[in-house]
Amino acid sequence: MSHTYVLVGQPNSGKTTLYNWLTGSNYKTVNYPGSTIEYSMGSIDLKHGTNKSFVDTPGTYSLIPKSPDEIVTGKVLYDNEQTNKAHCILVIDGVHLERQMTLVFQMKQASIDFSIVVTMADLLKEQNTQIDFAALSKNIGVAVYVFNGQTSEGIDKLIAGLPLTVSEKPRKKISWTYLDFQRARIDAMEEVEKVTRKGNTNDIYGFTKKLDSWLLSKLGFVFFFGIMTLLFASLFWFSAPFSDLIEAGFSYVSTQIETAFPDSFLATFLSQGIVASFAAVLVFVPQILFLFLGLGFLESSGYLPRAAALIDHPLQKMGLGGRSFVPILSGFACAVPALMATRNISSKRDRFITSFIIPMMSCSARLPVYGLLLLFLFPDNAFLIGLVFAGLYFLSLFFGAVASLILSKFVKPSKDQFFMMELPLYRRPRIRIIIKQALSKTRSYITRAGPIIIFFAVLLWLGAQFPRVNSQAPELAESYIGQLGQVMEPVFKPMGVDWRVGVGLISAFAAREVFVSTMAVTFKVTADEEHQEKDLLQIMNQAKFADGTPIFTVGSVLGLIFFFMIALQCMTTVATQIRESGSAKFAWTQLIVLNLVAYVGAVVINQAYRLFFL
Amino acid sequence: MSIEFNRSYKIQKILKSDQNAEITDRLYDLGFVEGLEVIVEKRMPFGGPWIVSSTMIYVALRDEEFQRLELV
Ligand SMILES: Nc1nc2c(ncn2[C@@H]2O[C@H](COP(=O)(O)OP(=O)(O)OP(=O)(O)O)[C@@H](O)[C@H]2O)c(=O)[nH]1
Ligand SMILES: [Mg+2]
Repeated sequence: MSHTYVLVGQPNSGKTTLYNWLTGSNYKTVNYPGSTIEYSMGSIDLKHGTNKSFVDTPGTYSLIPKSPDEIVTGKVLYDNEQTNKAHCILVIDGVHLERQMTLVFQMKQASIDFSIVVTMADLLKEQNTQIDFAALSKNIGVAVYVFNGQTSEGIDKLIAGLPLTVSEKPRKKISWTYLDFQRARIDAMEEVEKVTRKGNTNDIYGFTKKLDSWLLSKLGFVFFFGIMTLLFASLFWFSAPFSDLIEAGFSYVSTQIETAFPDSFLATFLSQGIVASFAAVLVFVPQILFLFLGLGFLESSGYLPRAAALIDHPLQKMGLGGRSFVPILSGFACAVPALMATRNISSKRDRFITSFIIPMMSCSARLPVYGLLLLFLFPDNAFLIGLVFAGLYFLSLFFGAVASLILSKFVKPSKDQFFMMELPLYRRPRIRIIIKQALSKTRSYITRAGPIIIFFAVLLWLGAQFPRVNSQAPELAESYIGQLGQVMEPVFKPMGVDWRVGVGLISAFAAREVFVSTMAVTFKVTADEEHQEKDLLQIMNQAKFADGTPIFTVGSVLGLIFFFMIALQCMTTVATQIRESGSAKFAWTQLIVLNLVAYVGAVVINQAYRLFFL
Repeated sequence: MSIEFNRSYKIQKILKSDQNAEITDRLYDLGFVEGLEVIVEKRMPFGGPWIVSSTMIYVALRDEEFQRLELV
């Protein structure tokens, strides 16, 4: 029979770190209170045994939940049939032992059967604090284990000591008054004092406070903008050589195919359909990898809770709060986990507004699109593109701010908001883990987009080849794709683009990055013979409407950028929004509103450019 | 009372308010009780949160939250 154990504890106490060691998983650990927002279950790593599984839960300050993520933990403890009888492992941060002991008293009162794991053993040592855990265990009547999350030292003892029986005692919901808290604090202080021997303690907060005296000073905002700009601009700077390499690789493959099989239908399809599609998207994969690396670095450093505190006040003015910051920032990677991260926001109103603007953040799927369009606007100037790139990220924050300002006028402030952000110790990022996680996210980015890219490449290619005329490929205007294009053209003409870009815009509703690959295919199959060999940017430069005016002008490209900044094209986001907000109406309204604003904005930008500059 | 930075205060009382009762409850959760000694480290620029530390916590509190702590 398999035994289940539930890890509970205060935010940032090291639950997910322990869970990863126990189960051999790779869940994200972040130096931010509130990084886990959903429970997850995993079987024990076979290294350590069999027939045991563990449940990781979102951190909770008490058994009386106050935010949606804490409610998840409450459900695991009380409601979920699979887990509500399981033995619990209370994870306590050793450095804050005295304070986190409150949960010990609450768990006892609730009749929950549990053991204690004190983590951060390495920091206790560094601090020169010696705790007699055997005595503590005896005094409070609960098994206590010590664990070092950096080395996994102590894990075997813990596993060996876990009980194989479950307590049948019914669990009680508790409610505490001030007096209960006060009594618990006094008891905790006495217990901890009895068992602690402090040598001449090292203040492990020394370095943290020194760094904070800079990062949270008057200059704090300068550092904040500096760090963010560096993060976004460096995506382009660092990745440029890798992108060039990938591009060279693909064009080599494509020439090889075409010279090996000249005039073969299949070879042309492979090189100008499939290879060109992947090349168009994959040259931007290094950017995505660097984005994940940069975010991972920031997440584990401990800077994020500080940044949240710094901008809490400005954000409040827009109807958000400091706790909106981390979800918004993760929106730069992907809106789906970012929407889930809003569970850490206690205020319903803040959570609502944050959820609305998250899909407007420049997620990684938009990155190839911006990359292509910026390369068109600023050819051969990687430094400038880097800066403009960072500018686009800030611009999406600005549009988000405008949207939340508008929304905050309609939604009344709710009474349930608090900020109260614990500032954890700064920690040296564990580079190996960050690289591993960034690589695995990049891999899943490619495997998710890959099939969609192939699908559209095949579809568009066939669409251009059929219906056959005398068993030859038809004139473009007669082909299926050409006919479809003529029907669609009036919709896209006001944006200043032709039907080929329109096909790209529609395919982007399957996945935004597919815009880039469909552009590569449609422009290649529709280009004249002599242009087909050129790369997408050159073809774009020469692309013209039937009347000879160029398609890609500063106006139409800026319009496209605006369109992609605002448009909600990701159906997974809509589904997540429905699930998290519990309101399908909200999600569908958002879908319609954002796409309308995106389209109208793009039209206005293009028309204004024509009016003033042409 | 004007708050001096980097100096030790004692929490005299934790004020309640009907406006937003959860703030006080959350302060309890975080371990704030009457009689606790705290140091007000600094206030973040432009009316931002206060940073309060004690032997057991290092935390940023919004002004509205900080004002619930009656310090002497
Ligand atoms: N030095 C040290 N750091 C640790 C240890 N355990 C965890 N950490 C770090 O503490 C931070 C928080 O760890 P997590 O495992 O994400 O904490 P959590 O309890 O899951 O946090 P929430 O999901 O927010 O509730 C991360 O930066 C970890 O790297 C440890 O034993 N020693
Ligand atoms: Mg966690």
